[in-house]
Amino acid sequence: MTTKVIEHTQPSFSNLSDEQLIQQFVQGDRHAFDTLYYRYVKPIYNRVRYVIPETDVEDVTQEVFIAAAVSLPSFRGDALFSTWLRALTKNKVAEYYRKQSRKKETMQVDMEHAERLSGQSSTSNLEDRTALRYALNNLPKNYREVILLRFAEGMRFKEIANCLDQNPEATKSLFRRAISALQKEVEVKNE
Amino acid sequence: MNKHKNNKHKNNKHDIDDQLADFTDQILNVKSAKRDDDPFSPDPELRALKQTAQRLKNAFRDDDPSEKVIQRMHKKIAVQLQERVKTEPFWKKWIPSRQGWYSQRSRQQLRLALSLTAVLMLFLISIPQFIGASPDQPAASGQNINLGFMIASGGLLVLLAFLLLRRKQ
Repeated sequence: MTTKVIEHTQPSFSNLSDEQLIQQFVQGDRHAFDTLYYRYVKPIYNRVRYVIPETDVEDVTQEVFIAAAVSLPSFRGDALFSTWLRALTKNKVAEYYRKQSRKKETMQVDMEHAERLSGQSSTSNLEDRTALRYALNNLPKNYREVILLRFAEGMRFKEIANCLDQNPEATKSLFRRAISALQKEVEVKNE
Repeated sequence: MNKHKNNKHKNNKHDIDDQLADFTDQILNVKSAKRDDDPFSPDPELRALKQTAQRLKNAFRDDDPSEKVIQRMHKKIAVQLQERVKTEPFWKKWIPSRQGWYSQRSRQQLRLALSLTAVLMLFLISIPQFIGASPDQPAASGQNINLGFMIASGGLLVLLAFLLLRRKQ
């Protein structure tokens, strides 16, 4: 996950590591959590945006950070905070679809939303986004993950390889197979 | 011959992997890729893959949330967290949560307190049996009760020891 310290945070916090910030937050300093929020909001928002319909992206992103604040005292530091937060995001996305078994429903909502916004942006682009989002959600987890890490979180292939505990060649091969599967999913949908 | 063919196929796939990865790096570094810029490649497989990557990039091109959205979400999160604290029922403070509102230490203390209470209650319940036991009563029933009590308290002590040991770890 790309980490950028944003100027909204208190200057004294911006140099602290994630672990130090977590410690400060657990001890009762809520500004430490603000710093974590500004550090991670963009990659989390982007990840959510690739798999959740436009109308609910903000809500789900908020839920991720609320869940993070609630669960941080039990964060044991076995994994990196960014990895933990990513896992939390995946859980929230899964919960979103599980809650109202929206997977099929959302497709419709998303299309309607695309139509409503057609005046503001190109309809075909929104339709394309909806179709791709739907196809992404139908991919096997490892394929979806490698695409999200590269496109939504902007990680380099080397970083993705580290994250997935693979060598770069294997990661690139996985990425190629993932894009190929996505292409097939989109074609199936179009037929 | 077959081996040679396999190796060639493998190398070809490897090349496609690399070229697709390079192409993706390229398009993600360009701020506004045009939709019509169909990536040219003589290999139809690679061309199709590049087109899909380009399509994905174009569809989600305005990636980052605006400052306004970031601030709005931040405010909502702060409000919701405050509301959570306000509306939390008082008894919840005493119940350990897997989600971790409470520290591990307080959970351990609660576990210890519950175990001690259970032992104490068992002891209080069994007192009348000891006081009421007289030499006139048939020995067999008294022995049965005492045996049951011993087993139960033994089990509880083992449980207590287990919890205490876990706490020390």
